[in-house]
Amino acid sequence: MSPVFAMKEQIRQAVEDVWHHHCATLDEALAESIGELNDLLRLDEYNRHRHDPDQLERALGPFAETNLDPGSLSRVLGESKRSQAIAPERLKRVQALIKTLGEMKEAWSNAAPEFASIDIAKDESEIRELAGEHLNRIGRVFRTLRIAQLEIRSKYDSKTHDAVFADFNWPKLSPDELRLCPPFLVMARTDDDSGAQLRKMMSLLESGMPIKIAALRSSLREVYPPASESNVPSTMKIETLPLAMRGVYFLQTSVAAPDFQKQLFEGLTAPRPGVISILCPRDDEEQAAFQRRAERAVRARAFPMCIYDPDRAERFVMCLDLSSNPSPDALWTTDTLPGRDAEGQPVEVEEAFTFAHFAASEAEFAAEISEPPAIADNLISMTEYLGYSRRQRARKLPFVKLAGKDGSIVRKVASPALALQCADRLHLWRTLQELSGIDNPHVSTTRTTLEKEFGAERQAQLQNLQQEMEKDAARREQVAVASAMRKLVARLTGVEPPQA
Amino acid sequence: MSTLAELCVIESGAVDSHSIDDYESEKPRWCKGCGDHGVLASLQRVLRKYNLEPEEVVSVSGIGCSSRLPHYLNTYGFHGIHGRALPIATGVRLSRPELPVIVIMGDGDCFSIGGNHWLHAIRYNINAVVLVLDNEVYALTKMQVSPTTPDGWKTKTTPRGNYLQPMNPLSVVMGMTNVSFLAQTATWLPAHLDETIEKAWEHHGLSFVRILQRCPVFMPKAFGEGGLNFPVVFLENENGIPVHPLLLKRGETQAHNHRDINDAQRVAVSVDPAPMGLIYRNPDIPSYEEIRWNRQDRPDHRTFVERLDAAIDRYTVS
Amino acid sequence: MSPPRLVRLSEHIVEIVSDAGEGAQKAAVAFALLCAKAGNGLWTVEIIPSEIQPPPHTTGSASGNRIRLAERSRVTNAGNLANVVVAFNEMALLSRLEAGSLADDVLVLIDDQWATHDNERYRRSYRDVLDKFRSRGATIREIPLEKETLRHIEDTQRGKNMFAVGLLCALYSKDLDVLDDVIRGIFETKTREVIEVAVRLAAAGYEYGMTHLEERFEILPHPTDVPKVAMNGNTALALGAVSAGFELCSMYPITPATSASHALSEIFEDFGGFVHQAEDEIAAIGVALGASYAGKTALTITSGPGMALKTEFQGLAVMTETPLVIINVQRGGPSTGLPTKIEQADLLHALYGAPGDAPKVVIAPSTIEECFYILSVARKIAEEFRMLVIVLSDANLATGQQLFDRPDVSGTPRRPPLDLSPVPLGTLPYDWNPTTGLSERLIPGQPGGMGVTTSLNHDLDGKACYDSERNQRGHTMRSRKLAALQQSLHPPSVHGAPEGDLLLVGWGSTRGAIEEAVDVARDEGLAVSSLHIQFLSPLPPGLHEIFAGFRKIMTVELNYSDDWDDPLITKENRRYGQLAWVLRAATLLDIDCYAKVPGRPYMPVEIFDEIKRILGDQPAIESPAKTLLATGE
Repeated sequence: MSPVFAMKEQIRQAVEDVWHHHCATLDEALAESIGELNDLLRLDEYNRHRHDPDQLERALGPFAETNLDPGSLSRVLGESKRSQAIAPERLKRVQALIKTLGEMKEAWSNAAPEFASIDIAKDESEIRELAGEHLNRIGRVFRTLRIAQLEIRSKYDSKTHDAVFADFNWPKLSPDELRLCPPFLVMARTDDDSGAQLRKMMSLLESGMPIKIAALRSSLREVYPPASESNVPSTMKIETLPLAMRGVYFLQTSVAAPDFQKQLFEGLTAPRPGVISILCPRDDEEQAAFQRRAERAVRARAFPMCIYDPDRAERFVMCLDLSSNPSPDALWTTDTLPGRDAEGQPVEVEEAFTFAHFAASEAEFAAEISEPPAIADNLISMTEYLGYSRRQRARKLPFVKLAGKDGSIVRKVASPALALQCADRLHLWRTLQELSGIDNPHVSTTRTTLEKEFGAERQAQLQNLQQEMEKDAARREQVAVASAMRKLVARLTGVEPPQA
Repeated sequence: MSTLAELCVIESGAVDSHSIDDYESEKPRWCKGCGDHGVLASLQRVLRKYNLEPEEVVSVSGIGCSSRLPHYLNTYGFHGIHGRALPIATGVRLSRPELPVIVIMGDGDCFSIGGNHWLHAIRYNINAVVLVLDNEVYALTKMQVSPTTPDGWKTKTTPRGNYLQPMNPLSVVMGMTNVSFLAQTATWLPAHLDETIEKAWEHHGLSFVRILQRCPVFMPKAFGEGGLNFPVVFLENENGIPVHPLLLKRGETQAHNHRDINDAQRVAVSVDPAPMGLIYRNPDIPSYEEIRWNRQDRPDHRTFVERLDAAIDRYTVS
Repeated sequence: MSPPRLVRLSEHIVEIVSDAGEGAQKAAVAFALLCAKAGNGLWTVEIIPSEIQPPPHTTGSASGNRIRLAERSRVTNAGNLANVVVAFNEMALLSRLEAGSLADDVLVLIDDQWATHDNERYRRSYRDVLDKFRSRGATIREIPLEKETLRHIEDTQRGKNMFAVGLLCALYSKDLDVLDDVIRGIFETKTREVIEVAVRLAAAGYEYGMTHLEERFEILPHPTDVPKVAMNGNTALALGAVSAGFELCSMYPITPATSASHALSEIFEDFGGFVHQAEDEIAAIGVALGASYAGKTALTITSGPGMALKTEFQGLAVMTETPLVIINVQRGGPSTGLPTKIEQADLLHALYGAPGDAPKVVIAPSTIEECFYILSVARKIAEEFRMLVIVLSDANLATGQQLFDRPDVSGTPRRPPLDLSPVPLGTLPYDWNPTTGLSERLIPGQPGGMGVTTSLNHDLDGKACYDSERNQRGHTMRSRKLAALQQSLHPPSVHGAPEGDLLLVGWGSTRGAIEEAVDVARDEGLAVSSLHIQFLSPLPPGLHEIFAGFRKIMTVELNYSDDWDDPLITKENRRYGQLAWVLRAATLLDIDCYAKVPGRPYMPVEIFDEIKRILGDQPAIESPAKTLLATGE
C-alpha cells in the first residue's frame, strides 16, 4: 500500500470512526423513539381492552375462576368515565411516525461515509449540491425525531406544528444537534495552486453549510512571486484562515501530535464549517521517515500545529490554541550540537532550529543549500540575518550550523529564496503567537512594570511582618517571665496570688 | 433518555417556560409571619430556575404546619402521616428514579416520631432534597415540647419548663454513615435560604437542610425574637453558599472546608453561634436507588417468561 | 426368614426425625421426591427445632420432616397420626410423641447405638422411651444405623440419613434405581466422591431393609404425564409475585414470612424487580405505598406483629385510595406468641384493625397452589379498584410442601407501560362514579394532573375538607367499592350435598383437613357438608341461601374461642372464633364454631370426631387422637 494511501487511510479511519460513532448515536435515538411510540400504542391497546371480560380473565388468572365472574366485573369496571383511547388522527400519525423512523433507522445503519465525501476538484455547484443532499437527509431525521418527541409527550398540535415542520431543514438545527451529524467531507490536495484552492475553499465555506474540508499537503516548499523581497510576502497562508473566517473551525495537525487521532475526531465533529489541514507523506516516502520529517517540520515552525475552535470561548485569543507545538512561547526550539571549543575540548552548542535548518535536510530544498565559500568573513548566522535590516543584510550570507557526520559541526549557506521563506515563516509564527495571546509587545511591557511594582510591595510586606514578629516575641517573653515570678512567689510565701 | 432524544425534546419546543405562579396551586393558609411562606417561595424560585415541568416533581410531607406545603406547591404532592414522609419518598425514588423528590418535615415529624426513618434515609442517601422546618415546637397541635425545644422553655406539656437539653440534629446527621450533604439556614435570611435550597437541589444525594424558623404564634421569642438577637456565623467557601454582604450585619463569616468530614463534624457540634451555610458535602456517594437500579436487569417480555419458566423448573419434580 | 407380607395401602404418614444437623430433612426430601416421581400425592411438613442451636439429644433438638404420601395424586393436608417414624435417637422420637403426632401402633425404626452406648444416661433413656412406646402398642425395630453407616463413611452424621432413605425405599417397595437418580440430583453440586458415597449408603440401607425388615408396604404408583411441582407456600407466593408483575417488594424480617422474601430476593433482580429490606415494619409499608403512589403497585410481606405496626399506613392507603398489596403469613399470637406455628387469628385485625372506617379487600388462599395464583388477583383488584388488598396466608401453608400441577406461565400478560398521558387541567383526582365509587387515578408525571394526595378527609377534587356532608360522601364512596366488587363474586360452592344436618365453614389452610373429614363422615352416612370462603371482604353473595339448607352451621378455624363446657362461660359471654364472629354479624344466624389454638394444623380425624359428637353418635372406636389431647402426654 502506498504511503499516501496509508496516510489517507489514517484520515479515512478517523472519518469512519466519527461516522460510525454518530450513526450509532442516531440509531440509539431512533430506537428509543420507536420504542416510546410503540409503548404509546401498546398503552392505547391496553386501555381500550383492559376491561373486556377475556382480558380480565387472563389478567386475574386461575384463582379468580372459582370466585369472580369476569362478565360482571367487566360491567362494574367499564363504567369508568374518563376516556383514555388515543384519538384516531393521532393514532394514524403515531403509526406513520413509527414506520418512517424504522425506515430511517434501516437506511442509516447501512449508510457508508463514501456517500458523504467529494474531491474539491469538482465543480463548486456540484459540491454544494451533494453537501446539501447529505445535510437535508440528516435534517429530515432530526425533524422526525423532534416530531416524535412532541407526539410522545402529547404536545403535537397539528394547527401549529404542521406549519413549523413543513419547511424544516438543516439550517434550523441547533449547534448541539449539528455536533451529532455525520460529517460531509471535501478532500483537497494543496501542494500546488494553493492560492486558488484556498479561494475555492473559502467560497464553499461561505455558504455556511457545516461541511468539513480536508486540506492535504506533503511539500513544504513555497515558491514566491518574483518581486517579494520584503519580510512579509502578500500571499495568503492557510494558517491565517481563522482571521478571515472567524466562524470556521480550523485545525492544522500532523502525526507529530501525540493526540493526532483525537484532534481529527474533534475537528470532524465540530458543529460548524471546518478546515482540517494535514501534513501527508509523499508518494515514495516511508512511514518512519515521514514521522521524523513531520516532527522536524513542526519544530522548525515550518508546519505549526494549531486548533481554532470558535465555540471554545468568547475571546478570539482563547479560541486559538498553539499548545500542540513544542515550546510555543519561544520563537525557536533549540538543537544541541556537539562541538569543540578553542582548546579542542568537546562542548555542547545550542543552535536555534529555524526553517532553514529544517530545509537543509530536505531533498526538495537541495537547490537552496550550498557549501560556504572559503573566505568566511561575510557569513552570519540565520537568526542574526533575520533580525537585520536590508542595509545590514547587504552582501551577507546566512548560514546554519548542523551536526556533521563525524561528530563535528558543519555550516551550510542558505539561498535568498530560502532566506525569504525563513523570514516569512518566522513572521507567520510570531503572528500566530500574538493572535493566540502568548506574547506581544504590550504584554511584555505590562509584565516588566508589574514585576518591578510587585517586587517592591513584597519587600515592604516582608519587612512589616518581621517587625511584628519581633514585637510579639518580646511581649511573650515578658509574660512568661512575669508568670514564672508569680509562681515562685506563691511557692515561697504560700500565698496564691490573684489571677492576672 | 439518550442525549440526542433529550436535545430533540428541548429543540422541538416540547419544554415550556414556566413562571413562578405555575408552581403555586392555592393560597397558603399559614399564619401571618410564618416562615413557611418563605420556604414555599424559595422552592418555587428553584423550580422556575431549573425550568421543571410541574408534573415531574414530587413533594412528600408528614404531619405538621410545615407539612401542609405540598398543598400549596403545584406538583404531585403526598401529604402523608406523622413521621413517615421519608419511607414514602424512598418508595417514589425506588420506583420512578426520573422524578425529583422534595421532602418537607417539621422538627417533631423528622427528629421525634420519624427519627428511625431519618437516620436510615441518610445512610440510603436517596437522591432527594430534605427540608426540616425547625421551629422548636409542635405548633399544629398547639404547643407541645419538641426534641429541639430549648431547655427550660414552657409549653403545654412542660408547663413548668422543659427538662432536657435540646437535641442537636446537625451532629446526628454528621454521625451517620454515607452522609453526603448537610446545610443549615433560617427563614429570616431569605437570600441565604434561597441559595441553600438551590445548592441542595444541585447535589446528587440526600441533601439535608435544617431551616430554622420562628413560629409567630406559639414561639414568638424563639431564636432571639426571630433572628434579631440570635448569634450566627456564616460558613464561607468558594463552592459553598454565597454570603451576601448584607448578611454580615447578622453575624461574622468563617472559612470552612465542607469537603472535610472532620471539619464538618466539628462545626456540626457547635451550637452557639449557630453555623449557617454548607456544613458538609460529598458528591461521590452513590444513592441507594442508583445502586439497586444498576444491579437490576430489565428483560423484555419474552426473556421474562423464559426466566420465569426456568425459575419454576427448579421446583419441577417429574 | 420368610419374605414379609406385602401390605397394600392407599396412604401412609412417615416421619423422619434426628438431631438438628444430622440431615433428616434431606432424607425426607429424597424420599418425597422418590414418591413424587412414582406419581404419588404428597404433603410434607417441616419439623423445626425451636432454637437455632439446641443441645443435642434432647426433645428440643428434634428436626426432620413429616411426609404424607398417598396413592391418589392430590393430598390436601398433613393427615392424622403418623404410621411410621424413623428416629436417629430416642429423644427425637419422644418429641414426636409429645407433639401428639404418632399413632399408638406406630412402626418405629430407631438407631440402636444408644442401647449399648457408653453414656449410661443415654442407655437408660433409650430403654425407658422404647418401653413407653411398647406399652402403647407400637412396633419397635432397632436398626444398626450407626454401625452400618460406619462401614461406608467415617462421619456418620453425614451418612445416616442416606442409609435411612434406602431403608424406607425398601419398606415401601420403591425402585432403588429411581432413588439413585434422585440422590444424584439432590447432590448435584457436590463432588463425585460425595455423590458416590451417598448412593452407596442408600443402596446399603435398601439391602438391609430388604433382608431384615419384617414389614413391607406398597403404595401403588400412578405415573402421570402432567408435570408437577413441589414447593412450599412462601416460595409459591414469591414466584406468584414475579408472575403477577410486581416490581418492588418491601419487607422487614419476621417469622414465618421471611422465607418468601428470601426466595424473592434470589430471583427478583433478573425480572426487573428488587426486594428492599427496610429499617422497620412501618418503613417497609411506607416504601411500598410510595412506590404504588408513584405508579407501580408494590408488595409488602409480614406476619401478625408486623400487621399491627402497619395499621396506620393501611388506613392511609385506604384514605388515599392507593393500590397496595399486603401479605400476612399468620402465626400464633397474641404478641410474640408462637412465631413458627400456625394460627388464623388476624382476620378481625385485617378487616377492622385500622382506625376509623377503612374498607379493604381481604382474601385467603386455601392451598399452596393458590398461593401462586392469588397475587395476580390481588394486584388486579388493587389497581382497578384503587384498594388495599390483604392476603392472609399462614405458617402451615408457608412451610408445608404440596405437589401440584406445574403452572403454565406462557400466557402471562405483558406489563402495560405507565400511563403518563396528559389530562385536562382541573381533572378530578377522585372522580368517584356515584354508583360504584370507582375512580381513575392520576400518577406523578401526568401533565395537568398535579395536586396533593392527602391523608385528611377530602372531596372529589382531592382538597382537604372538614364538613359533615363531604365526610359522609368520602366514606360512602370508599365503602361502595366493596359492594361493587361483591357484585362480581360467585357464591362459593358446597363440598358435599347442598342440604344436610351440619355445614362446616372454613377459610385459609384448613380446607384440606375439613374436606377430608367431611368425605369420611359422608362415607359413614352422615349428612354433613363443608363450605370454604376465600373472599373475606367483601363476603361472597349467596351465603344465606346456602346456610338455609342446613340445620346447624359451624366454622372450623385455628383461632381461639371459649369452650361451652368451660366454667363461667354462658351464652351471653362466650367468645367466638373470628370467622364465626364475621358470619354471625353478616347473616344474623346462630353460627357456632370449632376454634382452638393447638399451634399445629387440625388433623382430619379431630374434625371428624367433632362432627360425630355434634351429630349425636358415640365415636365408633376410642380415637387415639382424643386420648392424647385429653391426657396431654
